[in-house]
Amino acid sequence: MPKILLVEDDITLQKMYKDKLQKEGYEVLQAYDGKEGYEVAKSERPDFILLDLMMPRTDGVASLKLLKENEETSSIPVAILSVVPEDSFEVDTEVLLKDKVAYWRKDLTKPSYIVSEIDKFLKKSK
Amino acid sequence: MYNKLSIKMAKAILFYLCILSIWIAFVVLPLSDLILKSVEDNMVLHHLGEFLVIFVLGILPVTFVLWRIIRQLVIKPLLQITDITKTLAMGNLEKRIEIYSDDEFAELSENINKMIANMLSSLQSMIVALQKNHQKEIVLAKNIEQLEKSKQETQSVLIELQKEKNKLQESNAKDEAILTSIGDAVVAIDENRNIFLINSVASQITRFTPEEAQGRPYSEVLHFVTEKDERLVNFIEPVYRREPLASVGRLAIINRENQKIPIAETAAAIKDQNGLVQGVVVIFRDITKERQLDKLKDEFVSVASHELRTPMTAVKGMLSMILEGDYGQFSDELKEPLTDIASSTDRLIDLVNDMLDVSRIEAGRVKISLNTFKLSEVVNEIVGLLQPIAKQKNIELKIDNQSTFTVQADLNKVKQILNNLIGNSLKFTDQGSISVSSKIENELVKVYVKDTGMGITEEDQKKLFTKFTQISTQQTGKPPGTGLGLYISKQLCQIMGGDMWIESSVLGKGSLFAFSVPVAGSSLAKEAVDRVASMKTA
Repeated sequence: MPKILLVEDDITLQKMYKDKLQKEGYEVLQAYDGKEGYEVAKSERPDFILLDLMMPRTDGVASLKLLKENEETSSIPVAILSVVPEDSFEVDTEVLLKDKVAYWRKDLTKPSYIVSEIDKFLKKSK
Repeated sequence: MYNKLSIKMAKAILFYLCILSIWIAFVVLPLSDLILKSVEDNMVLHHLGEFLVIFVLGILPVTFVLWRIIRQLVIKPLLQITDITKTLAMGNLEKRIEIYSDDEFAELSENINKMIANMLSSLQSMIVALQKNHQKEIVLAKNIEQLEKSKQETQSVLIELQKEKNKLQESNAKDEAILTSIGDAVVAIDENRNIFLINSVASQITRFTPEEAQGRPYSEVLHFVTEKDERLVNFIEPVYRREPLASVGRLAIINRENQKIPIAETAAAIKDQNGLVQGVVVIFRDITKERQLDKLKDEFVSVASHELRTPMTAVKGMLSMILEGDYGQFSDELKEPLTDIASSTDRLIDLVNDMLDVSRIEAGRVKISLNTFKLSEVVNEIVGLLQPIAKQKNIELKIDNQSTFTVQADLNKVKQILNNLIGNSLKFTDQGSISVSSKIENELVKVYVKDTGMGITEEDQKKLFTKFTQISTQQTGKPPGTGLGLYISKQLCQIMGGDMWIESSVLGKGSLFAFSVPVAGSSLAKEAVDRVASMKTA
């Protein structure tokens, strides 16, 4: 069963994505901020990470940096899951450009779309 | 006259002859007797007393006669001359001296008479001259009168002038009052680059009193720098060189106390009648408060961006899961309301996104990544993506002639714009076709989207690209949009160096929309690069 790490500070969204992913047959690991996500990724080695951008304490960009700088976690594919448009000045595109798999807008996509995209990606990489 | 004279003379001579004969009878004869007797007697001294008596007696009448003669011959004419000259002195020129004799007095009198006559004639000529003068004086008086009149007129003109001057002074005072009370900082610099006027606001910002600033080179008082990295900026010198004001980005002023104050600035040349630059007026405004407001607005947009969208995401996501059966079966009666909730939620999300987009575009806070690519390929991709919707509606969506030129634009934004235009056509076309074509024209690649939809009235066409404009749903019978799509698309086109417009539209027949982006390497493309770069620094 592929392990998905869900890094998301909003409890409702955590629950929603967890429900959907579990329903589609994934094991879901949960983290509520960037630092915690990095720690969980290090210890649990998930197959895929869904990373929110705007989180308290360590945000998504900082978390992505930590993940990519650590050898143990650098190879894990990461998709950004955000409500903020990619062309906002709040988003540090320079950092995201080279290391992310995808940039998904939570508010513009359904959970089923995200799950199907993860499916496609994991099947491809197998 | 000589008759009268001779009678008088004869009378006088007769009179004197009588006297003389008496004198001879009573003086000369007895005296001669006595003298002869004395000489004979040789007793002259003895008869000295008698001599004396006779001599005195004899001399008296002689003296009298002599006096009379002298009187007649000398004193009388003299008196007459005196009289005449007296009357002359009194102004009487009518009288003349009577001449009785033929002597020097006569000559004198005659001369005096002549003189009087001369005086009279010269007086008369003087009178004539005076009369003439008088006439001249009358003319002169008239002239003086006229002069007086014109003097009065001049005076009234002068009074008017003074009034005008007062008015001018008043308006000068007003100007000065306006200048000092104006909310903006005003500094005027002369052609030698010295400050000659500084108002109170400018004085307050720079911390130089007007007395200190006046006469100083402006470079000592006005230190303008870029707000971001405090590079010294001089936007005043180019004005002297009559160069247009270049965009220098956001500026701040560093004052005497080393405080940095963000400003909005402008400078204009002071020109004389010949258009020569005599100086420069610099106007700037402390925009600290505006900056704070901007920051607040940015914060609000940022917070709204995140905080509004997160709960909406949950609603949308969970609704989709319910509708997809993730939470178990639901009754058929619920399907319709749930679908309506889902579409309303989508509309709400679209509206929030569009509003935030507008806010970001207007604040220059949209990242534009300019790349070069073939527009035709993007058109192919988007038309391909939208083909299913067209098929569903049974509308032909096709691509006509395309330009193969490489353009410079933001790929994602062009996709968004194409989506917007073709999406609109799909929405408002129920039968017929939609065709997309492109051509190159004046450094621009123009893309046309033509449909056989319901068309737009001329009135609606005018306001089509303004915010929150959409044709009422009653009119169209279509689900409402946000009314911001075309506005956003047009703004994005313009940022990238192109534009968007409606080429034509006929109610009931269809519309032809167009947008343009610059050809790669064109001057418009270079301008767009500069514009986007300045947005990033902002």
